Amino acid sequence: MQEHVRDDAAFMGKITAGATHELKNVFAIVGESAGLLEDLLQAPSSRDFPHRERFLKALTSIRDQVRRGTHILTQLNRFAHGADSDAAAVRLRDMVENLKALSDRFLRQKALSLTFSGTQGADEVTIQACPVSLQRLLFTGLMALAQEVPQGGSLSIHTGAEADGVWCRLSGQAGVLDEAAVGAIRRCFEEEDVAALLQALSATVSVQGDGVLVRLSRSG
Amino acid sequence: MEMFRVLLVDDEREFVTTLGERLEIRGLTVRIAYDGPEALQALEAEPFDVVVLDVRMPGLSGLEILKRMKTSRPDVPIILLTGHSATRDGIEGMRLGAFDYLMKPIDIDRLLEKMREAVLGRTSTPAGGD
Repeated sequence: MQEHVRDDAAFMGKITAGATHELKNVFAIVGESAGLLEDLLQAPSSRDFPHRERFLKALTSIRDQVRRGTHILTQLNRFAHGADSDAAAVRLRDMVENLKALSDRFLRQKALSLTFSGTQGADEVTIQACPVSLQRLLFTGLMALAQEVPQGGSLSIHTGAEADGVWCRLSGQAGVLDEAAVGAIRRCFEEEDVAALLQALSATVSVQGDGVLVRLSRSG
Repeated sequence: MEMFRVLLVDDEREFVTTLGERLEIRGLTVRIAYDGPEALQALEAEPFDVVVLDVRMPGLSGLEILKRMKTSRPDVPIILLTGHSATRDGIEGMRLGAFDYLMKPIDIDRLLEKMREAVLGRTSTPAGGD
């Protein structure tokens, strides 16, 4: 990564990480306050409290949203910390979980679902790489694929290790991509900035009828 | 619920007072400290069964407070509260003698379970950030 770009990413990461930390404290206070109200409403002396059931229902909703928001913040914080270093041991499983959480909003616009199908062979597949660059590459592939699959479809990510590297397969349902779609996805990876990203990561991409296969070399 | 005496240490006043109130509803005796010096003083002066300590606080850090508490009162188990980015702090805290750590926002039932384990001397079940 170019030095000024790396500095910009590190700056963005630092500010985002700090903000997510603060927001998590906000959620903690909201969560505890909702919990306290639930405790009070559950007390025998509150049985005749007007609208008790509606209050409890609303508090359940607050608790669910706190949990949802906390999950997003946790993943955003991890993503932000990816900019701490331009070379780190990246656990693919963590990165995919991160990608899944943070791309949800984009996928929902096409009512797409994304699942992580696990890791082939081993639980822990790691590679030394720039976390932000790798995440950007996978996000690019995911968005290119999402663009081409039909509304309401399902996508999956599968990872694995091979002799001198690791791979990550982004798939739609089998046979979901026609030739035009395959061509459109390939063109995404031929764009100058994405091609540079592939080179920087020592990565290769192949696009076929069922999706995108990203390979990263350990020796690169 | 057991009648534990718990010292809660956190600079987020609204969070810790609300949490304290919820623990009191469940029968615990709660003392709150908003910073390290106040917490260390309380631990010297009063008996506690367990301490719940936030890792990230301005001034004296949670880990520094933990070290001092472990020196002055090694018998009192300490449960750390960490933010999401602070898993490393939690692990470091356990190396320094903390019983376990939980990530904020906490689930009160999980905290109670963890406190019970700590006070009754059971081995901690994996929490590592809930």
